[in-house]
Amino acid sequence: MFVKLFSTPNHYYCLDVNKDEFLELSFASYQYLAQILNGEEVKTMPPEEILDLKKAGYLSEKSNVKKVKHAITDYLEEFLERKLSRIILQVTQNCNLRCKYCIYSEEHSIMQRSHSSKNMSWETAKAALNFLWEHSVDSSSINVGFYGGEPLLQMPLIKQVIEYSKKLFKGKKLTFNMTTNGTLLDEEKILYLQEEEISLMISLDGPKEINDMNRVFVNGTGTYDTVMKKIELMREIAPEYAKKLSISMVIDPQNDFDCINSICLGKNDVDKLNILPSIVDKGYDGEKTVSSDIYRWKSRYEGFLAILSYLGRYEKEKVSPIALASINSEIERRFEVETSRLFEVDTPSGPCIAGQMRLFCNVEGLLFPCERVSENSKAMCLGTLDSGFNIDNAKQLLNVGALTSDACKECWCFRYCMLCCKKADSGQGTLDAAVKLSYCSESKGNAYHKLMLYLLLKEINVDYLPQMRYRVQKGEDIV
Amino acid sequence: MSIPVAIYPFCAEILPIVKTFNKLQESFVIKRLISPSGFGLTGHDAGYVCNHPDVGFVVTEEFNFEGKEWTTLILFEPIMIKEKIDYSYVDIAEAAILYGKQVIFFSASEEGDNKINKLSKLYSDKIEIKPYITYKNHAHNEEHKFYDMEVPVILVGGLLEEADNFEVLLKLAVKLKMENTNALVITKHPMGELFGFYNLNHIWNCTDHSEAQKINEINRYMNSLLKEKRPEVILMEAPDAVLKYNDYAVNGFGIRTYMLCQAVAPERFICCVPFELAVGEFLDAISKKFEATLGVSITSVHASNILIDMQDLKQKFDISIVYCNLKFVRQQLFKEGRQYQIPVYSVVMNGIDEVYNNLFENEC
Repeated sequence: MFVKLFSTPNHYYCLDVNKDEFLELSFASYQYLAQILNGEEVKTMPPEEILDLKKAGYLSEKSNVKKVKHAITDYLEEFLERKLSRIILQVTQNCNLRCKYCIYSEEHSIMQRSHSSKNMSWETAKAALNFLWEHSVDSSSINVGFYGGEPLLQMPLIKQVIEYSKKLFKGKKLTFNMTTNGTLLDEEKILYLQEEEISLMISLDGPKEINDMNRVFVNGTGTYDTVMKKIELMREIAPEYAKKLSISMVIDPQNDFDCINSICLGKNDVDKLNILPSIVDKGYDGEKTVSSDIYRWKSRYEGFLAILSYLGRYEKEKVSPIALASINSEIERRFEVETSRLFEVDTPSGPCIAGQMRLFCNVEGLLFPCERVSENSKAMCLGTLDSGFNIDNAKQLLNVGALTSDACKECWCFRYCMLCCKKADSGQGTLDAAVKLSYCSESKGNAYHKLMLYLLLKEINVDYLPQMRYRVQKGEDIV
Repeated sequence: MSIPVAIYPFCAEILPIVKTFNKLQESFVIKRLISPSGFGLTGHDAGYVCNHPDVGFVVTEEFNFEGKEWTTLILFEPIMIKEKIDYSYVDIAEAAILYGKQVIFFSASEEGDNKINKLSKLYSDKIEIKPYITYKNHAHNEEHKFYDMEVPVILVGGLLEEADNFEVLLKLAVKLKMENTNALVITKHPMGELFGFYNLNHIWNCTDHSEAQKINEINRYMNSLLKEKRPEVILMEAPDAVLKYNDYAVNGFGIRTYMLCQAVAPERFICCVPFELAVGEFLDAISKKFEATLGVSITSVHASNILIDMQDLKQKFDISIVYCNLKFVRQQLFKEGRQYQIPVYSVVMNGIDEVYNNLFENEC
């Protein structure tokens, strides 16, 4: 039967995968389905509820999906020709840090390029902007991102890019953003970035003892003190701009969550910044990311507190901002659940429209679906600024689901899978089904967690919370 | 003799105007289409903006103020571009005036552009401002009578707000004009005034009217136009997308179109649908829905060459579109053709005669 069972402290459910609907069940029905899904021999008659659901077209035996194909496939060329809205420029491959987990370090990420001192030339940057201009007629807004290496090493180029973009994209909403380690910020740069309203994201992995384990200068010394001084400087000379600063926090779940979180409790007011947590990705090392027990327990507990605080049952100030950020983003995206049944021709969720979402242009003018994929991988390369898009490659990346078609068609996680093409990169110039399938349990685990949170929020009518609180305040009985 | 004009900023919503300009009025003739460099249209034929066939005008970013090619500059505020952009109207208008040109400014914002208003006071003989809202918060007419329109009313709308809705409306207006049929045309686009069309913006934007009062007011206003203009047919553009898209991109719910249809009951409805949705079963289903909500089922469908950007929809909960090659529309019409109970055409690909004939076949 093509369903997945869920139970919360209050209710029993099954996700009818074909219909993408949660069905609330009696305990008897839940048990009956559990037995069937476990392959047990069931001698009793199905509960009436199950028979009724079957009559109504639910609980089908097989997947609706006959063929895995992304809906955009036939129109991909149109999208890439007319609807780009973003480009991320790798302005340099050079970096003044040697972070130990860096995907470009010699010791790690064997499938990625190594550190180099190559810079993007003005000719390449200009060609990249012209390329975006030619391929964005249907986009009303444009975003140019600066990435490295360390982009602040290339300030003169960045200024040229900004000036040229303002002329080129006149008439469209134009925004810029930059991901930086922050160590090279100075007064002049801060004021310039503020003036040009560049959305700035600084990488910082936690308090000094955590951050400095990995994020180090070339000479091996930690970067924490330097980065915090730069943030202070920014607060001093550009206080409004500093409020908009984002912190990219790459979390190594081998560490103690409380220890990581302690950065938010110090005097530096890091908790007041927009923290964007992510888990360190060791995919290109051929390794899986493993969490320590202490990390898992504590992060889940903080997640629980974050949910309580969202519901107004716990003080927000006492909850880890890291947990709050990730729970809030999950809560905001709850509308994506139960929205689309499976079709005969369908694709597992996960892949973005490769190239359209966050086109990455490296120093040499090679194009990739995003900055996270390997620049050495032929499978990931979408073309060049000179030759344009390699549509066949782009279609393959878009249809990464077809690679594991048989497994995906029968998978309960079809609609909630988050595996993109990067997770199928073999490093040998091809996409590999076995590599992709090795990430399945992680993807299913994440989906399960997301759906459980969704059910919980649904049970407590989270969308009516303000009204319910108001009625409680008025002393009304809301039972 | 027609006045040669330049239009700025040329964009998708203006393409239908460009296509029908000379057929709907004789006072002006287009000589130059100008768009900001960022629109990515420079050097392309105007049709490129919607991935339509060429229309014979190459878009430029140069105004060529000193040249004699045009004498009047038509500036307008786009109504379909959501982002607030500075199009430098004042600088451009001032430059045009300095070179002895006339300027007509079609405003689309409630508050208008203060700077251009000031400029128009300085050069009152050179700048003509066509305000978006002609009058506001006027006294509500307490008259309780609700009028039936005594002529056929045709509604043109779309599942999404897109340029093709306007194109269908304008091409129908052209057809009616060619057939010497006196049509009263209601559009939401400020530039409709160039063609003698009317809009209801002064009622929609009345902040001191309830919804019910607005419906009454539209009915009364339309009746007064009916008495004054004595049209044989009323052609009206739906003021918003006619359907909610989904639960997180609600697309305006079609609430204004609902109100309009309460005020002026349409008899026929031409619905513009993205080509992928031009599927028999779907069209039948929405037609039934419209019959219940708007009081009119779909008479015919125009399949447009747009595709929803699903990525934007999922990432930003926002509806944005891509203009596809027309071959996809052709393929869809060919593939689904036999399944259609409601006739489906492409007005962009010469389907306007069929739409027209289908609309008025009972009268022929």
